[in-house]
Amino acid sequence: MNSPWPWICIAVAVLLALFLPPFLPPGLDDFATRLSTLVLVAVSWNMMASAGLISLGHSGFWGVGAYTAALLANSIHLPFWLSIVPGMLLGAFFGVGLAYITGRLRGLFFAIATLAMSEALRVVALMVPKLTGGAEGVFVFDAIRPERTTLTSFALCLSVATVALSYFLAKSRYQFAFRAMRDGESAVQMLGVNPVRFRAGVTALSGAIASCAGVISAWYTGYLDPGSAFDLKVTIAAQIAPLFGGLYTVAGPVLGSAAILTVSELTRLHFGYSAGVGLLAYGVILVFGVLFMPAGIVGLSKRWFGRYTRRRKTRVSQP
Amino acid sequence: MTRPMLELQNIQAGYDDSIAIEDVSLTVAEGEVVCLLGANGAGKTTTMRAVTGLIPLSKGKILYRGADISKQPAHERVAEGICLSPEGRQIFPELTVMENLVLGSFNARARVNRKQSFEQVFTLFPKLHERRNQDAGSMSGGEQQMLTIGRALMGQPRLLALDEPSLGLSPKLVMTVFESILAIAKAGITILLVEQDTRAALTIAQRGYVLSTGRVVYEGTAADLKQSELVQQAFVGAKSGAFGGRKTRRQRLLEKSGEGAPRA
Amino acid sequence: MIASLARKAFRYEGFGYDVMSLLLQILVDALLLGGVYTLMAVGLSLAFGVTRIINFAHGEVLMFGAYAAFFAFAGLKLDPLLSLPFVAVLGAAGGYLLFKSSIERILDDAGINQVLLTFGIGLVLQNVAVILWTGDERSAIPSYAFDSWFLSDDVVVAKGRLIAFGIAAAFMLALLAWLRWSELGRATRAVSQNRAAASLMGINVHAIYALSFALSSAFGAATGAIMSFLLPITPFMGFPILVKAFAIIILGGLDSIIGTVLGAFFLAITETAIAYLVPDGIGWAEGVAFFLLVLMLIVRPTGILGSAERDA
Repeated sequence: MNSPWPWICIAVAVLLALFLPPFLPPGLDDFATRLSTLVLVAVSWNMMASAGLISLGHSGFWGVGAYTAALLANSIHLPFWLSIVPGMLLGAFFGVGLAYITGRLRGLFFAIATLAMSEALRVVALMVPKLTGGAEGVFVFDAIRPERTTLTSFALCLSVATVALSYFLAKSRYQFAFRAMRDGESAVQMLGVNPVRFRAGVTALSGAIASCAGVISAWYTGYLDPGSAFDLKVTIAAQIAPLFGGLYTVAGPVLGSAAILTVSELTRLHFGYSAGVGLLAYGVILVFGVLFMPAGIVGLSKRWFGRYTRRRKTRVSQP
Repeated sequence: MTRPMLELQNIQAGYDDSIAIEDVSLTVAEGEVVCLLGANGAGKTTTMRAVTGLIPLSKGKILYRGADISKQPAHERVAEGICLSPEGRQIFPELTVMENLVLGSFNARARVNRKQSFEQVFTLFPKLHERRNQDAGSMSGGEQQMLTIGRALMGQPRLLALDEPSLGLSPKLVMTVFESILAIAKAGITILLVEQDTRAALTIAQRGYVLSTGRVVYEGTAADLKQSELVQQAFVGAKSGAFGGRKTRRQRLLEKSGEGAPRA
Repeated sequence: MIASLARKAFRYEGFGYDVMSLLLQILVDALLLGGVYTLMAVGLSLAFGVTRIINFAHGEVLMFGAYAAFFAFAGLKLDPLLSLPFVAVLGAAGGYLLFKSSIERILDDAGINQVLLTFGIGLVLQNVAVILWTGDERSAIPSYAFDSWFLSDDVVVAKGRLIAFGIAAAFMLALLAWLRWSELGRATRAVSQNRAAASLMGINVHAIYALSFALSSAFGAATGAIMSFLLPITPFMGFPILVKAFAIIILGGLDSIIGTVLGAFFLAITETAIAYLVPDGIGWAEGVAFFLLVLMLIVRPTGILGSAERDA
């Protein structure tokens, strides 16, 4: 528990995040940024799922973060590193709102509610052009856009921080509360945790993290419109990554994100940008993942290593 | 010697990873009324579920009329004539009494004789005929229990399995229900009965088995069981249910240690 | 859908036309829309009521139905109404295959697996359509697609819509009759109320599940065929329809088919009213479903008629 290793890993990761990007070729740099945003939403989705809350509307948080960043950049010239704060606040706000709306209802209701919320937000973005630029979208104020590599470092640091957070959460006393909530909220009360507040806390935190990803993407692409900001692809990727990597684990979202993005790149190389192939690949991975690999990469590797360590153990512990 | 109607050979079954019943063997001959006794959690309902196919066996075999049905799914066993009146009156609450009964004769063999089955059931339980168009969920506990039994009868059972038919019923109702069961038995249907109300069960059963923590601990005729200390001590005892007053655990312990007179 | 009709109504400019006509028009439109919405949502409701699984690919089944009707029309010159029974049968077969090959395996799994699996299937179906047929819009345009009858000087009844309503009504009545009076229909109702007891009746529960799924897909595909002459057909049409269907069954209560009907008409009336009465209403009307959904979840999650399960 007091091992220095986690801290060493985090320190190394942060250093890499800060100093590596300038040395990366543009393609890889681009990959790194996209990986970071994916890791952010993946960890966020995984966190909610760990509490039994299945989100089908993560694109809503992404969109909220993106629009917050863009609109504040344009109106008060808020620099990118500061725009994280209002982005996270709004994300947390919608997260809490979600918890309030769904009360203590089961997973299915929650899933549908998240869908409704993200679609509602998209419609609002579409229908209030004075605020959001409507269907035409909005450009982020060019003069204050950061250097490509700066943004990459920033994004990487954020994702490291998020993974670290999920690691410490998994080791904290809250890990049992998560487990309990997956099984049913009544179990949570027996742990002395207030289920309503716990749920709100989880959704708020997840929402905040996912919004960060939106903030970064706004600065990264420089332009957004309701269709792309609230794109369903975000939600899909946010689900597939943890599922493929290992649901409810810490490493799962990271491994899964890397895998998914690689697959995406490979299909792009092979099939060009032809419509639908990338998403088809995602869909197939999702289906196969659920049917044949419900424990993800982490689960598979545990089984292989588990066999190995178990054999060693019996040999050692025989009287 | 003719083969028994039902034979359980060293069966083991349970839920998820745990074992609820182990090494359970019993036989039921055609036309017999056999009861399965035991305290709460002894494994009686698990045994019934295994017999009817609602849960799989992890070990052992079940033979029905000579054939091994261990792997046969529940709905096929019904067609073969094993009909269960489950514990807790699992009726279809939003369907009428009639619809519940019609469903009882869903299987092909019973569907042909539906009309006669109705007559049998309504003769046995006139209350059901009165309430035939009422939603099953709105009936009283006793009526629902009658419906559950009637529904099982509609399936034209060769083996009628009854799981705790007295549960939650007033003493008077329990007597009515058991009289009906006796009538069914007299009509020649083989009956396997699970009951906590030992006294009631032993009034109509010819033989019985006692289960405790998942194993058969005693087997004998009704007379044997009535006199057995095991039965009297461990379970709902000498005064119980429709046939007397229950003793609390405290009372029984007091009696045993001889410290105090049993309270009425 | 609403857009074209709204445009027709607003052909009458100024305050000249009377309120009664407007109300009547809204009512007529809402009624016709409600019929289609009912058909759209009932498939989802049926599958859920029996198997307790929400099919997130339902919209895509509908989409395939629309394409099937379209190709029958474009290629074989077959009127969508004539191809409808075939499309429905194809939908049933597709639903059955889908169920047997994948969904059956996760029946007892945690809810998350069900959501992800059906979601993934929908994704696959959608993008297969994109690859096969591109994202371009198609429309089947039989003769009655644009015809209308005039109820009065100011009230218009779109012929295509009326026919769609008729079909929807016919399907619904057939379903309700089947559920009420047939052996299998009764068995299906039994399974949805108590599946363990149903198997004790000799009912093969898994077979009923498959049947319900097939029926659900048949209804979905039939709705798609109807929509082929009401809406532009694209691979992406399924998703917004799915969300509306959700809104409807939550509005009406997850456990009740009649509730679904009520929910469908409630949504139709609200959408139509907003489309006509609110400036820019047409755009907002699309969001009505979501707003109502959110509202319903806050106020009365069990829906108008339902009794959904709640967490302790």
